[in-house]
Amino acid sequence: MSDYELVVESALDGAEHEFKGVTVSEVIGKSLVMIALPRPKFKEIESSMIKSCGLALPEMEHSTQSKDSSIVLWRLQKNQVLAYFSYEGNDAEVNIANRLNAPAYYTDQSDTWAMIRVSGPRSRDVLERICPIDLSKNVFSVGNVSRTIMEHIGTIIHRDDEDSYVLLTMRSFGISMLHAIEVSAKNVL
Amino acid sequence: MSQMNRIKGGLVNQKKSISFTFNGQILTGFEGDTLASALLANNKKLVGRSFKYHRPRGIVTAGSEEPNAIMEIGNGAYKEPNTKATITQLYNGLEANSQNHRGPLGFDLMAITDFLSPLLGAGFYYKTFMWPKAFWEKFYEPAIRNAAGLGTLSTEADPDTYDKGFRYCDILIIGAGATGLSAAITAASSGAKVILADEDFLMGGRLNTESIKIDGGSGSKWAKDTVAALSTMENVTLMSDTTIFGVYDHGIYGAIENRSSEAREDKDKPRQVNWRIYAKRSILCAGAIERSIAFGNNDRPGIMLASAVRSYANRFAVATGDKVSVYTNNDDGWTTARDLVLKNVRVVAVIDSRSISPVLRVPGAEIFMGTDVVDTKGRRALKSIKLSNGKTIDTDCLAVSGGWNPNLHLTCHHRGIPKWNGEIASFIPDKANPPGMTVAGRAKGTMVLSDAIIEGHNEGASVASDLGYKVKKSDPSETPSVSYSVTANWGVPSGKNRAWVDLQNDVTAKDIKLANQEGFKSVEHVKRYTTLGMATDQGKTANVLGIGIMADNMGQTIEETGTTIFRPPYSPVAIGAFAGRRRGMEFYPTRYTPSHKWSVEQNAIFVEVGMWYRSQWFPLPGETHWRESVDREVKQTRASVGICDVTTLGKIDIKGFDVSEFLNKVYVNAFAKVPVGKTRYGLMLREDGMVMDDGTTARLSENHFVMTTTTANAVNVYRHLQFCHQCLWPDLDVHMISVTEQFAQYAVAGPNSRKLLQKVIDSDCDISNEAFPYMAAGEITVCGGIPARLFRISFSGELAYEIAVQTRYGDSLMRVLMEAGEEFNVVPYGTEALGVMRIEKGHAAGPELNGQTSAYDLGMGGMVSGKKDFIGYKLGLREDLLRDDRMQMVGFKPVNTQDLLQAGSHLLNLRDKPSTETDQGWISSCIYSPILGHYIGIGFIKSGHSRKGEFVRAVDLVRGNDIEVEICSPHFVDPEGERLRV
Repeated sequence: MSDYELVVESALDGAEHEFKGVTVSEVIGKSLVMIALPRPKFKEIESSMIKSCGLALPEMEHSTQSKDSSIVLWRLQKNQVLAYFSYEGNDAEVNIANRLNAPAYYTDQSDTWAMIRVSGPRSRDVLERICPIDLSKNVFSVGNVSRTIMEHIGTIIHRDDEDSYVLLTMRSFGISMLHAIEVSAKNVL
Repeated sequence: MSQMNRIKGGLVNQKKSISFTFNGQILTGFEGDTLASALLANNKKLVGRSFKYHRPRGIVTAGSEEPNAIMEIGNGAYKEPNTKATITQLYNGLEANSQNHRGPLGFDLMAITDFLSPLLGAGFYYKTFMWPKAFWEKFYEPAIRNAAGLGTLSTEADPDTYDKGFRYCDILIIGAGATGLSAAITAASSGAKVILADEDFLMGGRLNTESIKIDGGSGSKWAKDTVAALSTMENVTLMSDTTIFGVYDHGIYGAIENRSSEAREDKDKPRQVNWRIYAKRSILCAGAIERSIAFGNNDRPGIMLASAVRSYANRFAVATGDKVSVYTNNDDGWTTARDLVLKNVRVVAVIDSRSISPVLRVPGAEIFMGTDVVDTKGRRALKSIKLSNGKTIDTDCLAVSGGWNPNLHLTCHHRGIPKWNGEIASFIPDKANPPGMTVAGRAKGTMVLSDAIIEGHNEGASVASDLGYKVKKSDPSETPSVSYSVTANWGVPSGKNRAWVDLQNDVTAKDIKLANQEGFKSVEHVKRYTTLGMATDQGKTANVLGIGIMADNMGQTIEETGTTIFRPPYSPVAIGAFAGRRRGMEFYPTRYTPSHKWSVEQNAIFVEVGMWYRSQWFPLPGETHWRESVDREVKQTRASVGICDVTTLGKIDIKGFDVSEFLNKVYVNAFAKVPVGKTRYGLMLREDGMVMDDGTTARLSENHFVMTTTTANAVNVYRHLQFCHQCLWPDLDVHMISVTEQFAQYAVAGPNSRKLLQKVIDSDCDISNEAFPYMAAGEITVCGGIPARLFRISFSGELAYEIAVQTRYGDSLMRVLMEAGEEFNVVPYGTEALGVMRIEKGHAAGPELNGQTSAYDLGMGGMVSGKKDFIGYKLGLREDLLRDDRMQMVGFKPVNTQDLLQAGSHLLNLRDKPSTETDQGWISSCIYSPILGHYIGIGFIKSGHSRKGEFVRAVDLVRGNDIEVEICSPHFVDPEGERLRV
């Protein structure tokens, strides 16, 4: 074995900022695995996931949770779901593949995305400065997922609670995205 | 005496004084004032000089249609020219300066132009200043430019910030006057999501400027109470001080919200927010704007629109004159007389051009029916007017009303054309509004207030109901019905005097007549020839008057004359508001590499590569010139080992049963039989046979490949592959996802690269030359079991590898590699050294893959498979693409080794003169080679492959270079590839 050791760093160094009515923080402790659903195996994949984890295939732009709520599936495309689950190991791909036990294709994306949570009663007021989709409470409900562009940065946004949104941007854009959210908070609050 | 024109009452807070300056003089106003009302309160009748003739001008209106009272507001970098005093909310410390005069406002030296007016009529610059020809550029144009323009810029960077935002609603109600508020009540009560926007900082529209009663109480109180009620409703968003400036596609509206008072308190807050409002429906309740009448010398300070005179009296508690006269062609003008009398302001005369009975009793005023005003006196302030019956009246304020124009601008933003309504002598919206928009109230031509309120009330309910909301039954508010009667009057002949139509651009009725006489019959031509309606007030008070005059001139109807096209923005919008946050480093987002933090610690010099920030070179202390650093990096890498962050190159993970077949179709060369554990270089063409991108694709398992692309084409190639999969071959079992960001990837290159890596890679992974030969690829572990991928590929031409780990380990791996490499004097290298080495090696890159070169041009014709179909195959067989004399990629070196060779130079035969006919090709990439000790280049030259050894010239006419070069192989260093395979 090599004598050297590698140290883990998250995309945003665990950044966390409090504003009046809004908290902006990096999401830590979650893994992301992109799952491709080959057409001929659709039904089999659906039933396998229910059997293994009590996890239903979500509708487009919605999400579902496993029975133990540790795995959330975000439906991004007809043939693509993103698994968002509590796990910190560097073998997330194998881990989720084993847990779901479904004949799909898995690719680790845990390091691809910077994950930022914007939460608090004024989170929507802050986000409306950069988010071109309708985040009204009754339009973008808890569990909804959407792809959009915020400040020229491709973003996946997921509402995971009453006043809580998880934003994913490509890791290299993370600092720029964090900055955009912070400027919004300073402009609005 | 301070505020000598102030009277009692109004909606201003007379207990709260505000201090401001005008042309350096300190003045006082009240909270709730605009700059204009405060100036009038202080008897400042002269507020500026006109654009062309520098005539003294005063405030004319009380809104955004103001043509004259444009000022420079603020100082230093905050100075903003052409700001309308009539919509500028007064604040403590406001600094205002008048514009467009040399010397004091009262004695403008440029007023001489007024006497030159016969030379400066419509289109003068097409007719005068033509001779002698040379004088135009040297003398006339600079002089005209010097005299032209409105206001001056600070020329400093705008210190304010701007923001943008996105709002969604069911119904956008534009205008919060009586009609808009009525619509908002019914719409909001249904539960529909409503945004109510008004341009004014005080909602209520004309309810705040008229002495109207609604539901038995004052109109302004009704407005205030209604706004208060709406503000408590969760489904209502109120946006005052917000102009809806444009109607765009798909129900999208542009809106500018003025937040300057907040920005003055806190300089970090944006002074304006540019909102994109997505509305399912909209109701335009923008009211109407009064127009003037054209008569001789109708532009003197003190001549104002009648509704503005009573706005200043009723809302701002300012008497605009001591002896006011009214000139009107409609019933509404009389309201000004009545309101002034009620405020104890003396009205000396009412002149109505209609031959009817007087509309109202006006105590103390002389009444003249069927009469016109034909002339006025008083250069810096109105002194008297002359009537068509010969009588002269002493007056210091003339309130003019030529009728009302429905404010239908927004209904025409999708190329709508309004129609003429003879009954109200105005244009009204025609049927084809922008999709989703309806109109109510005066904006529609419903001039009577009681009717307008009912219309707003019903429209709000109707639109909400259309959207599926249940509307609560309610009654509209009540107000006494007051009819509106008007007879069109565009003006009277002014003889030798000039009758002004467009006050801001100094366009007269004579200019319009001249234009018509010279053959400009279309209203669009007249607009541009005379500049009528082209100033910052966009002709809001002038256009219809001009059209009326045109129609009369040409003996045609107003319908036949028509209007010009209405375009966004409704009123001027600062460029900063469109830029939003797009300034400085935020112009676009920046992408940082995994080794960025470490590179900053090394004082690396960075370069922007698209949005990426990459290390360009790593200077050592003492190095003063970039060549010192770059040459050192190249030499040290080739001598021992160097490390470069190549994370930015596109990486696409492709899985599925049919991947190899898919790759066969997108690459020119064969991929189906690439063994597991091998990488192959692939060339990708466009449909037309031109090279699109290149990269290496590794097979990690039977159904799992990883493709690389150039940095610049990472997105393009991914998109191309998606297109191929979704549209061309959807039945192939192929699944792809970008993993560019998933892995931090470092090139480790040089004779000691293997030794370095063996210290980091776990010993159970054999990377000896036998076990891991050139072009091998595989999954390994490093540093005690951390998963990694290793590719033995070389861009530099040295023994080299690329090692990839999950990006979470990226920073750490860079540090570990550098530590492990210490014993080999490892050197980090940036994009410059990367470029030098690939050019020394003769690899094609971006400058060669410019979309104009085929595989054959690049010398890679041998790779093109004849055994399979692939994208670009068919069109790649076109005769012209297979000619021998095409510009082909070769190398170039200067004959004189001291010479500078530059990329972009064109290639000529030795004795040819430079021209497009003699052009043989060009140098696409060029560097100084520290290994060879002279400049070298890669480029394209006609028949290049068969001309090696020949001498030509590299000519750079831009930078003044012309040297002899020898055509040679592009592979300058280790052409046999021996170093790669050790």
